[in-house]
Amino acid sequence: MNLRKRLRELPLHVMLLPGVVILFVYSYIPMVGITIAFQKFDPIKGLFGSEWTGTDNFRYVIQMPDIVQVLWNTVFIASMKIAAGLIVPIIVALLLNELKNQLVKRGVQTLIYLPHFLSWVILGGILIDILSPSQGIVAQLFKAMGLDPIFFLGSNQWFPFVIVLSDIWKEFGFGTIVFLAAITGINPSLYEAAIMDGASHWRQTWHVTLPGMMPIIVLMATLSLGNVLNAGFDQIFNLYGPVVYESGDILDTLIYRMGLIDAQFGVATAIGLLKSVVSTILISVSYYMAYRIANYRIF
Amino acid sequence: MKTKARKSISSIALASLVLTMVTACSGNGNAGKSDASASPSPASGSSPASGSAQPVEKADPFGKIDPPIEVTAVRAAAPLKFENGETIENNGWTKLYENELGIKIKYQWISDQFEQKMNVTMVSGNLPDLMPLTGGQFKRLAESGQLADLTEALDKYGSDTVKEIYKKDGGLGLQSATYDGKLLALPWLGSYTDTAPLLWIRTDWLKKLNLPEPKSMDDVLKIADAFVNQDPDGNGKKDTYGLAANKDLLTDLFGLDGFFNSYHAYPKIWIKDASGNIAYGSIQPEMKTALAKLQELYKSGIIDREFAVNNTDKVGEAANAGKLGLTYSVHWLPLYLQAGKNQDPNMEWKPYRLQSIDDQPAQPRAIYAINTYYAVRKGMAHPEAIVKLMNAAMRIWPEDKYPVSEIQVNGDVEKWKYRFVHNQNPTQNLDAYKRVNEAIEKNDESVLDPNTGEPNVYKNVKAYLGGDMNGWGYNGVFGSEGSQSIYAQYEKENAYKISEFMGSSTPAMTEKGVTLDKLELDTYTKIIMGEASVDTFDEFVANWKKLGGDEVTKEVAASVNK
Repeated sequence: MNLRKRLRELPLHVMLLPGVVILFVYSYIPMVGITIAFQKFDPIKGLFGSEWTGTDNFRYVIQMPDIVQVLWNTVFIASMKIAAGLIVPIIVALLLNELKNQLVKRGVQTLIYLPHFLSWVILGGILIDILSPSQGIVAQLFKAMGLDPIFFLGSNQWFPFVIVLSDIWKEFGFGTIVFLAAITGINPSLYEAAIMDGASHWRQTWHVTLPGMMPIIVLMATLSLGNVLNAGFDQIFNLYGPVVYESGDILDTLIYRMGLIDAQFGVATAIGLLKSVVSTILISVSYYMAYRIANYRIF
Repeated sequence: MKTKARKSISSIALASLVLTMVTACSGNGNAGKSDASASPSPASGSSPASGSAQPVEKADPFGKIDPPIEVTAVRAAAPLKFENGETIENNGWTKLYENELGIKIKYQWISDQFEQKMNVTMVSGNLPDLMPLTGGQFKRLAESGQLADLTEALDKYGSDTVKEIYKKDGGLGLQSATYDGKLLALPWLGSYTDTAPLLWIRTDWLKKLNLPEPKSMDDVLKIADAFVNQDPDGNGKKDTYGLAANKDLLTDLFGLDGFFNSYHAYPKIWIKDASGNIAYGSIQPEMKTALAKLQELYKSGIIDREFAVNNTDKVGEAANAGKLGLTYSVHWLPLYLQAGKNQDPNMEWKPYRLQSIDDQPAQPRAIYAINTYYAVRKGMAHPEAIVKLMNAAMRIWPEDKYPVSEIQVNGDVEKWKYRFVHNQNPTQNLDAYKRVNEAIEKNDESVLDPNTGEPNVYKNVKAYLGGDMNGWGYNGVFGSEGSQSIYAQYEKENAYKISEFMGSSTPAMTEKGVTLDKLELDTYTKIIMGEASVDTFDEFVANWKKLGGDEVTKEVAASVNK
């Protein structure tokens, strides 16, 4: 790198600075707090005065009687969310792309990404009403079709699926934006070439649009894998109750209840650390796979 | 493990409305103002923490510390009103503290985010001399050995009134502030009577369906059944619920505690079993009987089929919308339902005693609640200062020197709030009920204690009796047939079932609490919904013990018997 080239890139580095500073302040400095995971943390004695307990907190977590079930629920719900949260927006983006009427296209886009801005506190209440087996709209539909209404939020069979479906409904519009942008960025001459080669509409999608979206799809998939232990705290917290603990209690809600009863900082930090480690491993692996398989690199 | 009240903001606001009517004086002998309610001390199996074997030499509880001292303190910035240029550091009480007791308080900080700020202060290690603490904060400071021993100070300097109040709860309050035999804080006592569940019924529906008031548990169940099946709201639809329940099961409002108490079952509190040992109420055989009944009620549609997804606020909406006619709730339910009354002036709720399933009277469960722990920093030269401040709070000062308008109330300026230390007679709401009703009978306001919230309650109840619906909520609590009237009967008969254990969690509770709570709620809910057979209860008891319940029980027993 010669000096001139460096100077030319200087503005870019200056633009990067705020991001780096924020990352350092909010992500790197707090890492000191990871020590809490190995302590019987006492706020009065502080970070360096608390008693060191080695891996006790981790052992405590592993020995909790319902930890296996909670882990399973977390991974199950999160995986379904990740898969559906990737596939649905891609399909919707492709469909929207086919719309020729710009006004309709924009209208639909706006409509479907609006729910993203509503909080689960509000939606939770609405959802409970909609799904109520006695008065809810869904139950009325079931009755009209001659079926028995299902108690969606009160049954362990249905609860995880309600969680995933409602989350997709809330977020798919927002996820679509990225893919629409990716489609917009595809070079039109590729389509012209495909048409010259006699590609049907469907063929164009398959051979031009999808490969053009691939980098973004891989990127989104890679990034979302880090969420395999995040099943969405605020959504579940607003919808669950003791009756669906069996299928709906996840790591985050468990930690929350520990905090409610008696702030067990050490244990909560230990679980958080475990989550981070698992996420890091998964992201690294998927990044490597993306490089090997799709020859795609972010950096 | 501990009873945790999960309340919404609105309920907290309502609860504090009633709870914060702190009595400035719980009339005592030497003040020439006799207390109308000589409530019997509840029988106690435990000996109070104070009152050691050898009598200490008595000191003057109101004596002046000489030379005067300046102490540092912190406090919460409660919404305070001032007049005549007074401030928190210069008012009737600060003068009284300095002139009478020789104590000048200097505040390190005053914050409206007290708890967070205090946590930071605790971590910084720069503790003030005197501290008002929450239960959790007190526990942490006590365990890390940062607090002064007040045992001797209370013995030597405590006034008769203060000692009397600490006896009213069977010494449990002091016990909760005692670590390793040392008294490390003075608790500000809450009222245990106010934590008890009552049976509430919509009497306008009773009238409409020509049903008598309940005399037995069978009557209660009949009424609940009628409220579902006989269309009490007359809209031709089957859209009303009999017995209210919510997903957290055991809550202050719309909970099932009272129902269980009717079956002599006491979930979530610690009781003495037949052989006199400390036992956890949630795992006793009486629970099984009650759960079986609840399962039946759920099956027959008397309990809302969807209770398992609704929180208390959702149930509250249904109650306010006139869909609900029977619930077990604590005393301030009418204040919560005022909105429903405003919508439907015909709505009428009345509290009843808990009915029993057999010939033994049903006992409502009660818990001693502690508002604040007043603690002193270890190494402070005059730990008796906190005792003296409490004495001062509970004394009736001579009018000529300290007029009521200076240190208690002047119009709408509540000056008793300026005090640094508070305490209260645990029976203050009962006293208010008695005096307000006496005042209404005699049409004489002078009966009321002007140092309390009584005039305000009186105004509201009187307004209601004069036809103003806005006083309905207050009347439902303090009126002649209000919830406090039933608490008064219970108090007189000494009929409360008071939890044997109070104070913050033991180590095993902290460790096993999440697991055990989950197991308990999960089992109860499934049994009620019929997803699990009633016999699952036995399995639950065995699991509860195995997963740490036995350990918790041992610790609780040790702490109660210490």
